[in-house]
Amino acid sequence: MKSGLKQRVVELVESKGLDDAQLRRLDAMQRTPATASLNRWAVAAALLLGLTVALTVIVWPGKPANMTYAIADEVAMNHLKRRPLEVAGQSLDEVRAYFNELDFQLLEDSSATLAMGGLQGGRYCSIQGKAAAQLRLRDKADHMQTYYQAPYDKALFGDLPDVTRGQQPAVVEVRGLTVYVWTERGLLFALATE
Amino acid sequence: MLFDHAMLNRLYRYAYALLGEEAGAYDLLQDTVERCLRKPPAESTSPEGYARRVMRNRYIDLARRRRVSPEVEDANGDIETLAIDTQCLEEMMVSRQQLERVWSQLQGIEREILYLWAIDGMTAAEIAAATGSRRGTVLSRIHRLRRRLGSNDGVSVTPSESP
Repeated sequence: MKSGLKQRVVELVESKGLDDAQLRRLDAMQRTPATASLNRWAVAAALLLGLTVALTVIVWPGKPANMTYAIADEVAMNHLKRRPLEVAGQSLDEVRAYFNELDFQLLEDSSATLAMGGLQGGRYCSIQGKAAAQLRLRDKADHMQTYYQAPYDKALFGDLPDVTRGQQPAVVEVRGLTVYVWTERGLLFALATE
Repeated sequence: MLFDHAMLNRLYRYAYALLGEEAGAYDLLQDTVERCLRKPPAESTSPEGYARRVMRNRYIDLARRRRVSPEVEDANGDIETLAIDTQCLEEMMVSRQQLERVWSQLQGIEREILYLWAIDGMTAAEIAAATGSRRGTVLSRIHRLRRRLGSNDGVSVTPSESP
């Protein structure tokens, strides 16, 4: 049945809406402390902190301590974005061949994250500008996880916990997610969990 | 939080109007929210209005990057002299299926005009102000939009408006 164009446009546009999962992801993006609205004093405090950090970096040119946070934040952001997968597969062997443009081989980490199942597939990505493999997993409780592997460049990433030396992964709460970051066997690993 | 669920849904629908499809609209919305969080609006600015401007600018940037012009000028530059306004869209009759079929084939700027006219209830002059265009340009686009809709199978205008 025909009706006025205006009514039809309203019907069509207003029939579109975000689903619950999309709204949850957008809420999580907005919950990150880095994006909370700042009052004047908080801005002043942030400027003072920034100045202190800048002076520290100039006097002591080591890696800023917040690099782990920056890595976790980037991983969390990409987890929330849910870009389409480029390759599907349920095991490391199924997806490994796709990532032949990386200068490293995907590895099973010491926690056997991938062997536990739930792998959906992956896509090329990057962490702090370093080419990386981004894999997507769905755990037994049906929560999505985003799992990264990239070459570990100490000069870029700074000191990160090495689990082969008995250290525990760094745990960062960011954007409503828990992100684990660690290194082993020359690779940087990161796992974002909901 | 900067945006509540009702606002997010309205922004999503605006993104849907710009892009004509839902997956891209969600990506554009996410991108917009991220940018608004990184650079929040001034206290005196409406977050939703600010986000719409951010979204529109981002849409235009992305369209340019894909080398798809988001705003194609109409060849008929004299259209301003014609007695045309959003009124000429009012009499058009269309079924839901016909509109859905045409929707993705329209240019982003044409869908945006339809959105601003139908959802926000804007006149041609208001659409021109909202999109930073001249009124004549908007009229020209409305003229072309009417032709495009009218030439599509099944979309009709009322007898008094028929050529």
